[in-house]
Amino acid sequence: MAIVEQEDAPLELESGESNQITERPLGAFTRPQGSGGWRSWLFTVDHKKIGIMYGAAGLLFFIIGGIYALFVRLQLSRPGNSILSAETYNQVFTMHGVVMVFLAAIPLGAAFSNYLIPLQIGARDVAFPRLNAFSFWVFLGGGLFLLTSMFIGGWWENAPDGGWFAYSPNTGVLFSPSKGIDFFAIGLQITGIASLVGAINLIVTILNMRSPGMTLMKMPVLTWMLFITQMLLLFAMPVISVALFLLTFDRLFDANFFNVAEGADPLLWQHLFWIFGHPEVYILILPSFGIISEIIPTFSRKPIFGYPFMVFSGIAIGFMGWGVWAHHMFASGVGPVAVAAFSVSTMFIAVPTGVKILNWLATMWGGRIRFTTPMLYATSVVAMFTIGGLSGVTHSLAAADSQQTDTYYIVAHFHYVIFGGIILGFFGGFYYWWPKMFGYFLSEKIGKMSFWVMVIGFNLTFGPMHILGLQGMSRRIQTYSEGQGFDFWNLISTIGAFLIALATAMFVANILISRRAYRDGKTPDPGPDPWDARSLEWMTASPVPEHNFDEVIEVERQDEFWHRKWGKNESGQVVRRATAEEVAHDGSNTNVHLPSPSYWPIFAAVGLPIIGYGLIYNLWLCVIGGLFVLGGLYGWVFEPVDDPNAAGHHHDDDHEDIDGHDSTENHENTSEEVPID
Amino acid sequence: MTATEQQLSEGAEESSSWVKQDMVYIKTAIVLGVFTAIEVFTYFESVHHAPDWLLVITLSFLMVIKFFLVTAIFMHLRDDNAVFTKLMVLGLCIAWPVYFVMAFTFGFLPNWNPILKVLFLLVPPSITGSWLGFSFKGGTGSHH
Amino acid sequence: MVMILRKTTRTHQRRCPLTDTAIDQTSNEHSDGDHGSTLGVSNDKLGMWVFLGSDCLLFGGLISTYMLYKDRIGPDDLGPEEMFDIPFTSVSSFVLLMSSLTVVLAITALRRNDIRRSRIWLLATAILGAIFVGGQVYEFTVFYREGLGYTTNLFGTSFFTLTGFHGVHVTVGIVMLMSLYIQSMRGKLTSGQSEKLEIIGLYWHFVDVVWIVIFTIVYLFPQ
Repeated sequence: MAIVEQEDAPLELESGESNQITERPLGAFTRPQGSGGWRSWLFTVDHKKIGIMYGAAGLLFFIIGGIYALFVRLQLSRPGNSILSAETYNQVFTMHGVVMVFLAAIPLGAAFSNYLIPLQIGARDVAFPRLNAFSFWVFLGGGLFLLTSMFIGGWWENAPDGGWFAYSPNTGVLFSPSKGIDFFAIGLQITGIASLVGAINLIVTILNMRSPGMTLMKMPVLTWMLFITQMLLLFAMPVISVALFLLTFDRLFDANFFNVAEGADPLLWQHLFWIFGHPEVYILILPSFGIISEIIPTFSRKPIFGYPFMVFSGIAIGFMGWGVWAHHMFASGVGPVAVAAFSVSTMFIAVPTGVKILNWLATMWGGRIRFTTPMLYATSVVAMFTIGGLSGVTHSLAAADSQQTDTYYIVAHFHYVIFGGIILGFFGGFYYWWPKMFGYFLSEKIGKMSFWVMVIGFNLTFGPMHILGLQGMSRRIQTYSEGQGFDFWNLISTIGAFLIALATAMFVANILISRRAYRDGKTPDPGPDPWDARSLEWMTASPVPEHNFDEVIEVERQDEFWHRKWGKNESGQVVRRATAEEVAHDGSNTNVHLPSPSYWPIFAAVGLPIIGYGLIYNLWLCVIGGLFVLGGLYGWVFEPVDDPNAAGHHHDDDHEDIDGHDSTENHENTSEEVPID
Repeated sequence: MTATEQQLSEGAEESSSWVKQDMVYIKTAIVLGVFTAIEVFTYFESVHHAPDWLLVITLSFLMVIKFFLVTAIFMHLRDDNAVFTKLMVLGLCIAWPVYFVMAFTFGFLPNWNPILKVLFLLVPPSITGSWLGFSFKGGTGSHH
Repeated sequence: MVMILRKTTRTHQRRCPLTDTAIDQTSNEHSDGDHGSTLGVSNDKLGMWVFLGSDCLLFGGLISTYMLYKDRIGPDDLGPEEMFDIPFTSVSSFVLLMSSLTVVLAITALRRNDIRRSRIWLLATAILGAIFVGGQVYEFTVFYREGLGYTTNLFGTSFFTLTGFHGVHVTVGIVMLMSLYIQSMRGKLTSGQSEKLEIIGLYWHFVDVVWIVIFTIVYLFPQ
């Protein structure tokens, strides 16, 4: 039985030996050293770096998904076009959907979640920092795995082509002989693991790591919405996991789960997919709702109207979202009882969202509104999502939906809610938090210009689709013939799509230009609180120092930061109590213990796509991938909590003795020294 | 006595009484074994005469009790922070109605009255959910 | 050479505002991890419960699939009545149930600092789990020899998928238990770290509870 003596004050031993024994970790590798360069990103466990990586990856995948969309729109710009063959077209629109939903929207939500949640609750990092890093690398691996389907075995030969919801039995081996659906199923399983693990992490963080005094009802609305999002992810991901397993077993092992000839029911896929799929769309939208719930109060200089209603309507959306999935299946033959029941439940779910819309408007009403770029985006979300929501309500009437389903009317609806609701919200969030994350402003001028280009382009692209759909244009068709009357609006739609592309390019340009301008000293330092905001993330320096806050923040009320800056005088007028610089931490406390970076998360994560390729091509690869995963997990588990040799921040108080106590506790009292032979 | 010797002798004392201390768990295990035996017994009975619905109800009842015993006692749900119970219950309350609705669309239990189906879907999760006093007031963070 | 075991007792003084809560708010591997946490529970334990909540949905989906497909076989096909050997499966169910007991006993022993006994119970749990898995493997082999393969009919496919997923969960549990056992043999598992064992125990109990449900619904319900 080995007993290791813990480090304390060096003794001057007669033999001249040191009594400082450091325990050799079981893991073969020491931990990464150094705090700069590519290594500091690859092995980081810092939630902020991970959030930034999620954001960068999400933005990159958004651009890729957008390029797919441009090709789709080019193909549809004229009747009888032949830019993309039918087989290629199926792959392009499928990849557009898959990439946009799973590789752009979800990771962008994860970016904001990872960066902001610990800050908004006053914590120093998430509950499981290495698991957080693992999440990101698994997601990236899965995403790249999916994208390689574009060129493996030839360009556009093996990409998934069954649509983003991959209905069976089309997706079986008989009707989809290429490897595309295998890439789809396995790729989404991998990214699903990332999302599930991330959800576990953030739920524990929010429940268990809040600042003292921060009860759940004092958390910012964004944190609440993100919390509900993570709970939805937690329970929805296993369902699609089951569906994808069944599909994979069908394709790889001849399982017949969706083989009608053997007695299977293809509706099983639809149910399982949409039981996931509907909560999924709330997973997509709630972060954006949270983001605009932060932006609108700040730029209306009023607190959010009806905070409890915002919270409870979010919870209601989370719950009710589980009861509406078969509205995606009205035309699938589930029977009149199911159709009627789901029709009613779908109508009901509009109510909590309506509550939110009213609350945002009420927040703005009577406020002193400043239309900065983030505020422009936030208000446009309210408007665009209302439009999308209204078309959604028309879908809830099952009889009407029988005409609308599988037409461009549906495409219009979901793009209004996804692009108009989610993506515009994310862009608003970028502009709002950019100074906090990176320490410089994005140009307002370029921002506003690109906003208008984007919103005009967006409405030109998807507005006409309502008309096209009601005129009978089916979705997912590679082309249409001349005399059907679809020509004009399709052309407008394509022009709009290129405007969106232009706006996106302007956003990227904005980043580069603004960064250069700041470096050249042409733009001001944002400081900790450029917008005079309300929540805790603004109470520390910009960019946020690695340890987040200099000291623990005691929270007494909602919008704690705001109330430290502003108070009320005797006559009830709002008067300033302190400036932001006085209240905010300046990042100078370097005595904070940080979790150390680690090799193991990325090491383990690498194994998953390898297993994926193995399942498709050669089972020996699965063994190799499995070794990476297993080895990575063992290395991870046996790695000590923190690197005793960590450079940078102080580590005098890092050590845990056997009983789990560490030296930050008071040692002034009795200690027994027990000789053991 | 040195502290070590004291510690070791205390350990010896304890080890002879571990059975007493762990009695709760041992008793629970015995009860679980008995219930399992009853369940298996019904199987053989079913070959003979009992009507299906009676068997299903009995077996479901026993299953729920066993589930409850393992979670409450072995998993310490009974003694631990309520948040754990809420998480487990939330998972079940979502899974139960969702999967049963799906099953009903596939024609599961066709002979049942629709009202009975709705009750079956909503009542068990509502009871368990509200019995636990489903509130998020547990976040007051009193441990500072 | 005298090895010194340092035992310090803490006073409960007001925690230092800078580093302490920050430390406690950090990584997970604190074994006494419940100070500084909002709910007074450790992150690790909460994390495991959160995960188990989500696993309910996974097994719910697989059980539902089985329930939907088990009767979709031809009149002459091999179905549940022909294949199931209830006495055999009851024994292996009982084995798994007892393994839940042994893992609890391992935890209480560890908390009492009875390392040797906790090791015994830990090993017993892993062995019982292995017996269960062995029983499953045997059962599957018998089915296969009697003509029910994975792709023979939908009953077979959905049955093997459901029980296979459960079996994989049990196997992962055994691996975790044995890893902890080896740690204990190396003297690294102490009463202060009983939470690690408790968390693996939670996973193990969950796997047992899922089997309680599967055994009842799949095997015992009248067909």
